[in-house]
Amino acid sequence: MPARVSLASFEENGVAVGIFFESVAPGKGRLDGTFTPLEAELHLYSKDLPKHGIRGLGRPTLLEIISPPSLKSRGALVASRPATERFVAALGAKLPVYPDGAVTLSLPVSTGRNGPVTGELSVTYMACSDRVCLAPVVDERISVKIPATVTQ
Amino acid sequence: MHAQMKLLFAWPLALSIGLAACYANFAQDPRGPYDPRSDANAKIEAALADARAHRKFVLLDFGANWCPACRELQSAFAAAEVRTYLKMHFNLVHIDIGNFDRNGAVTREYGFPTSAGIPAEVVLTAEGKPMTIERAGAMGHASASAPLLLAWLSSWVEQTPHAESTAPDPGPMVDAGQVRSAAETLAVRVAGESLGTFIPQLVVRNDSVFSTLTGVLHGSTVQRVVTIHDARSLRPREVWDSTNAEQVHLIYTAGRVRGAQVRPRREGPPDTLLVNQFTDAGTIDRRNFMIVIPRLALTPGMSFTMPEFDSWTMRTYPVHLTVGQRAPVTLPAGSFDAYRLDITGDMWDMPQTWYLSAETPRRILRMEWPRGTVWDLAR
Repeated sequence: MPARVSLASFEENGVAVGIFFESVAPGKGRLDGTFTPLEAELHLYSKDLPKHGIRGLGRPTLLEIISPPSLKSRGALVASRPATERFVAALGAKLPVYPDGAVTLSLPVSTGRNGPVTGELSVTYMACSDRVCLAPVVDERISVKIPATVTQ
Repeated sequence: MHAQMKLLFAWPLALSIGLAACYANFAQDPRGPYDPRSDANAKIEAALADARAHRKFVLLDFGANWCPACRELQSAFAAAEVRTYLKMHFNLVHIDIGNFDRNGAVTREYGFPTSAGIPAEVVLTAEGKPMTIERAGAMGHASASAPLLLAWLSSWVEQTPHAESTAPDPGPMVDAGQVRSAAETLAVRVAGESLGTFIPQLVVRNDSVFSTLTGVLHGSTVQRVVTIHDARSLRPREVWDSTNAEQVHLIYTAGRVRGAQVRPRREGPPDTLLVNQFTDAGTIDRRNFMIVIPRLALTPGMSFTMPEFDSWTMRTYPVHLTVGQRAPVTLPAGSFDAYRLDITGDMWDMPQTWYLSAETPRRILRMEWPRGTVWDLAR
């Protein structure tokens, strides 16, 4: 049975972030990033939002691989919840956001070899409610050590 | 319309254009209101200086263009009724905080209003003293509702007298001997061309004192003003003004002027501006100058300042008056012993030079305004 191990966790700008790795086969697995706003009414923006937002508004929620080259994604980033559109009347723009609360982004990866891999990930997110926005976290680098094989 | 008449009445149009330019600051810039290149300290200093001059508050708006809640609040600021109220009572300063990494010193100086998120607002007195710090998007709930935002803004204006400001010297008292019913006709010329007449009239009946001002240009009545005065001070209690451009109703009471200014438009409902602001003690309405000034206890050599409220600009201006020595003057209406009165102030119709008759009842013999506008007592 594949096991899920925690690679990193931190709280910053109103959001608790956890990074996990789940091995599915030798050299293959899945990175999960859980983004949990610390206030119930806060929401996060869709991973599909452009990096600089729509008309400059909002910042996407992202989990990205920076290094090493052997650590690669095997597919698209997937969100645990579908995004909904939130209308910003001021600009007549619709912003894709996740419903208030936590969201998990999953990225299938190959580690390149069945051995421990030290890598660098990047996370981006921003939490807002209808009336307040917290500071965005953009391209925050996180060093992680992915174990060789994780089974239970 | 004659060119001279245009000159005489060009100021309302110019003023309207000026106000529109000010309002343009509230327009929705697609990039957002927070300019990363601007000097926040310089903007705040300029806003405070203007606030001191015009008895306003300063509203600091900390935010960033990437912040949807900030942009929603900006949109609420731009709503017609809110922006009008803001312009009257506040100087709004947008402070870009970037990714919470810009203008840190300013944020620190005002008590870290952004510590729980943006938008964050700080209201300052004209002297720079913080009156409130709205953290954690406390203002955000108001962005959905102009009435809520207006209520929040007006709570500061209504509840907070400008304690630090010093009211100017109210100037000389009214000379009771001059307060009697009288009317005079002043012929107005611009650059030598006769345009028509204005008739200031004071009516005293028992304890009631009111005045009228009737303007007739090229045979058409262009303005009617009726004022109810305080019987002793001649300060205005209530003013009605009707012109082709607007109708104004103002009530002066308890250190405030309240009322409405209604300007018809070619189509649709009229533009309506509500007036509700503090005035200095002794403030007179701009329309009452011809009524009040000749009836003050003036003595040669005296100099004083009177606050004058102008509803076109929604401001109270200090107007400085200096009384000259009694001297004979010869005018179209005849030869008189007169006092020269020099009037200055930061207003569109200043400086002025008046000649007032020395005898009782004192009459306006001549007024010389900018741009070659002369008012002479008709024969």
